[in-house]
Amino acid sequence: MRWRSPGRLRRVDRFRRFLVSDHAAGWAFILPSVILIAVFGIIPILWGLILSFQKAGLISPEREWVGLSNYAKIASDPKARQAAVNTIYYTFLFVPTSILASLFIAHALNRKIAFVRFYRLAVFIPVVTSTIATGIMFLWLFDKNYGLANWLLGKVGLGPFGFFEDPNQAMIALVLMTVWGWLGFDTIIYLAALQGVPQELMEAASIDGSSRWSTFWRVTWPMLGPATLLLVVWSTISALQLFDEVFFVTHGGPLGRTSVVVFYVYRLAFEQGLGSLSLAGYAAAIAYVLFLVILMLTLAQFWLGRRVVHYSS
Amino acid sequence: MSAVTEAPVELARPDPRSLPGETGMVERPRRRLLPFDPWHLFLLPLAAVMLLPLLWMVVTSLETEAQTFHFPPILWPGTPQFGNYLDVLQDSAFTRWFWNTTVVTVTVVASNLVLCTLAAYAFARIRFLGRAFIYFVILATLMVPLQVVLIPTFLLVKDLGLLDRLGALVVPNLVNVFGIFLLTQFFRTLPIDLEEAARIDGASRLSILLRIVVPLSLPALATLAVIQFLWTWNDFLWPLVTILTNQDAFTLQLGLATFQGSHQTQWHLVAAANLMSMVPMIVLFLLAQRYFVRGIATQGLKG
Amino acid sequence: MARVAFDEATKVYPGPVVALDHLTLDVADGEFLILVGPSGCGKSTALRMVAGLERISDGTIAIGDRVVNDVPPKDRDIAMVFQNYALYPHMTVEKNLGFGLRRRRAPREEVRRRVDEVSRMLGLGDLLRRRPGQLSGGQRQRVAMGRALVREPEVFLLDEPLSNLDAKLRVQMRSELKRLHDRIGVTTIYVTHDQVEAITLGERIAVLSDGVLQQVGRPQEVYDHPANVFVAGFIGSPPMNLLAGTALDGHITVGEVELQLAGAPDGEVLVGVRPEGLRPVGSEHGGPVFEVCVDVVEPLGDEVLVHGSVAAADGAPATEADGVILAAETESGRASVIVRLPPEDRPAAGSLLRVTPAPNALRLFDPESGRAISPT
Repeated sequence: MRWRSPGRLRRVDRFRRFLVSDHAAGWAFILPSVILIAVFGIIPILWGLILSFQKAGLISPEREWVGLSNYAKIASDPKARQAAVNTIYYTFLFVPTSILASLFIAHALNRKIAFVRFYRLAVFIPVVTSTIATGIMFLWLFDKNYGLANWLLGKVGLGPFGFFEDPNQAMIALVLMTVWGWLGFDTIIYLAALQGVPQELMEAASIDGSSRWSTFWRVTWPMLGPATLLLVVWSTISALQLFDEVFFVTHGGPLGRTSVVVFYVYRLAFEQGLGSLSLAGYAAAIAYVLFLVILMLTLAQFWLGRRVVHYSS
Repeated sequence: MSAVTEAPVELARPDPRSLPGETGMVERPRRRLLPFDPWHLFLLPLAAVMLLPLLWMVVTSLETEAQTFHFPPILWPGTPQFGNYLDVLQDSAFTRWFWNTTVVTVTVVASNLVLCTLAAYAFARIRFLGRAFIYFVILATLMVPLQVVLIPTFLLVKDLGLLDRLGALVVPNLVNVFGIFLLTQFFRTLPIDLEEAARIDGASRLSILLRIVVPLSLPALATLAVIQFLWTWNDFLWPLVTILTNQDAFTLQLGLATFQGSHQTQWHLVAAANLMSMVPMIVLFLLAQRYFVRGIATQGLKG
Repeated sequence: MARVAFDEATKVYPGPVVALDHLTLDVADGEFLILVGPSGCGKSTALRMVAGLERISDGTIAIGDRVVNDVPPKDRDIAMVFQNYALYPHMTVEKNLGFGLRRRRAPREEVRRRVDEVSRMLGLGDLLRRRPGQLSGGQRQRVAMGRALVREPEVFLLDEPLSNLDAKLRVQMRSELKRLHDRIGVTTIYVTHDQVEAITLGERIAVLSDGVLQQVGRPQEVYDHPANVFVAGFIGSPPMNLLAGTALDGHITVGEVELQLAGAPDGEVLVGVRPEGLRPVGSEHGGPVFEVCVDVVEPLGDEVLVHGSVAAADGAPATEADGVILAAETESGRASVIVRLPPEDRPAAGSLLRVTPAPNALRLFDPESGRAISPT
């Protein structure tokens, strides 16, 4: 063993020490991921902000600094307003429907009856179908002339409906389609939450004299608070970002009645903006406004939720 | 001296909700109006409604074109037209789309498994300079919705020369922050004793990760793989935006959408194409249900 | 009248697993009865059957005058304290306490009066506005008790209510429970696996093992005259010493020692004596003397436990105490014994301790059935 002078480690040794240290290891492990996230996550976020202050072309290299005028433009753009209204309308229909339906279904599935595994499967499977596949299924089901839906509804004396082709019904048809696709997701979460309610609590309530309905309302439902809050936040965020179904099934129509915000952003940047129009910056601005709305809504929902929901210890 | 041995563990009281038959609380004797549990009256129609779109696709895919235009709809074709499936394969680049999607999905899933595991392990167990800050920044990116980064990422991909190529679908998705979050949470729940014992024995961080942590984490990794698979396979918006003209690089979803656009009235073919595209995910789901469910439950925790 | 009567009550789980095997037991009105036994003995099952939380497979259970097999829990007028308290986490203590009464549509004044009274009795006044998550284990336990008390039920059921508390708190709560029962006098059935708790708290204790009732009686009686080898080994800590002996003509020979003890039929017999039933004697003592080869000496402050062995065959079968099987490991021909000595006596390890059984300290058991043989 070569004797080293005490106190001062030579530079080589200090470097060697660093190499085998935790710091080096930690950074080595995260470096590829951090680089990728920085390039494809962080830079685009910042770049998007910058774009929103520019008049920018998508294919063309035009970049003109215009400050806040993109944002100002949003207020006076009737199409933007329509997109906002449509999006809010969709969200208000989608969120309560999917949550209430999935609560009821989860309760029904949380029992020991025959075929429960089959029922659960039937409810969960739509979650794995892609938005396009779902779109195709419902386009065909809701076909005005040859679709199964109008035939079945006709048998009970209703319809025929225009569904996606009727300006007043298109959004509702979209809601039905997307609820179908998402029910399984919400149900899984509620089912897990229901099964997390300790059996003892229900027993105690029963001994205390509580009927089944009363126990559900006063004991089980409050304990589902966290799950409900989660689903409300999650569903709202998803609803506000609706795109695929709108693009594929209705393409914003009929008469722009299903044009939602993300679809409008896409249209501006990738359909209208592909030519000579430089709308990428404007689109980016709209995207950022939506982001801010989502952020504020989420914070508000969490804050409200904290006051209403009591997490059990 | 007495030797002490453990008695058999107490028979854990089974959760009555999971047992069949007459266990659980005493309930007021109810007059049974029906020979079966009344909830079936709700669940059976519900199952029918949930499965109807799929089943109807199956039926339609086996009809002739003329039969599809029949109203009232024909509920079962006399002779199933399996040839429709072949027609789809011949009439379109379906196999190409399928292949593209498979390549992209497998690559993205594999890459995520490797990169997320490495990063998550570091965040969970290694104390290094800047750890908390970087983790926070990374998680913050999860808050930002897709449409905000859509345009800039497009421009970025264009500048990198990946536009219109499969690379555009792979490279930006090589690591998914959600995967890092999922695995970090999971690794933190593993007992640290095992790793500490290995460190005392002189094992390097990498070998601890590969030999001890990963084998214990297979369920979490499976969950991540399944969720990532689902996302990548079903992704539509991103391929739509980045694959503009190069039909050779179409993914299944993109191709399917185009197919429906070009064969608008040929529902028998569109249905066949649609079903073929759904089969892989449905099969994966049936095989790996547990992981799907777990993945969804964890996704919920993220919010 | 709120007596509880088990009549051949049986519970069978799919398996089949017999959790409770034809239990017949009467709990008198106002009595404090303890069901005690090791894990899995069926005591909790019996309790839950009284509560209506488990369906009865066979036999009947009656509360007061009526058979309650088919009566749902909420109609039985019982109250229960769960092992994990089962407090409603999203309600304040006050709401928790009043829940049962409000469910039964008691007038608001009545609810308030009773809640006030109980919270005063249990010292919960300061905690009324808090939630269970903000309380300590002991406080939660008292709220659970309070919730049951408020209902003023006919029967009180307690399922190992003290087992989640630390040792000191447990001792404190034991005396509080006793005081409460003395004051209120409601029929109480209490389940525990801790035999010390059983002996100190109960008016009568019922010992169960593997779903079968072994013995029921006053604690001192069960301690002094165990009905079988299981009870002898389960009740009392450390357990009773059991030695194999041979009976002949009114004498019983244990190893090399001859005991003048009549009552056993000729043949093999088990002789039991508690650790405190063996008194140390000097070398000149006349009567039967066991020479204990001292192995380990445990000074406990107020007494000394001597673990050793004697030249005799071990009679102790594998007994279960608190879920731990004590399998005596002996060298051939020697049996392990434990002797209780006053704190001043400290024999050295390896030395020879001479002891003689105190008068009336010996118990006889049939080696085949394990049952006690009453002395003539």
